[in-house]
Amino acid sequence: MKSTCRNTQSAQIFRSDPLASFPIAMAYVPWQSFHKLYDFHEGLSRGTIFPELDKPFCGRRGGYS
Amino acid sequence: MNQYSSFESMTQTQLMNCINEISFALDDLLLYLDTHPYDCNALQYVNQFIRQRNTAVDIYSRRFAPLTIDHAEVAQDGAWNWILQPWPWEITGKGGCCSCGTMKKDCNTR
Repeated sequence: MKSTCRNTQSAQIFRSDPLASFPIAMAYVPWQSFHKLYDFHEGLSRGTIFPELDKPFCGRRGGYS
Repeated sequence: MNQYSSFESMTQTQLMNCINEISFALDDLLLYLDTHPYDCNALQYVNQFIRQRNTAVDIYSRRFAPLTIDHAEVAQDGAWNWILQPWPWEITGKGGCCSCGTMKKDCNTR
């Protein structure tokens, strides 16, 4: 059956997915390594002492702009 | 980094805030160590954080009131001051309300 879907966005996202070769339906979390830390005051204010985990919610989905 | 001035000269509110900040940092670092139990850098920091937190809690308990049952003693007047003192969130002053961190009944302890 010939596809009638004309939306190419999902195919583009798949091609740019660095995890495309991984099995689906599994969760992958890159291993964290130890770098610099926020100071005590900044850590409590930001909600983490690890700058690389300081990811405020900006109201958008991560993979889409 | 992470050096406070003197815990001895702080107000009650300032010292409570410091304890909350140190306690949060320690908890966050313990989460990292749960998955990296042999990370030398993290282990150095955790020792430092524990020492600073213990010092701050000791000084707070001596100068103001016990924060955990480990520091509670029967006062010389024979009253159980643990329950008579203000709770941390009842301490007034700018920034004095602790939104998280060390609670009186030690909710923050793992």
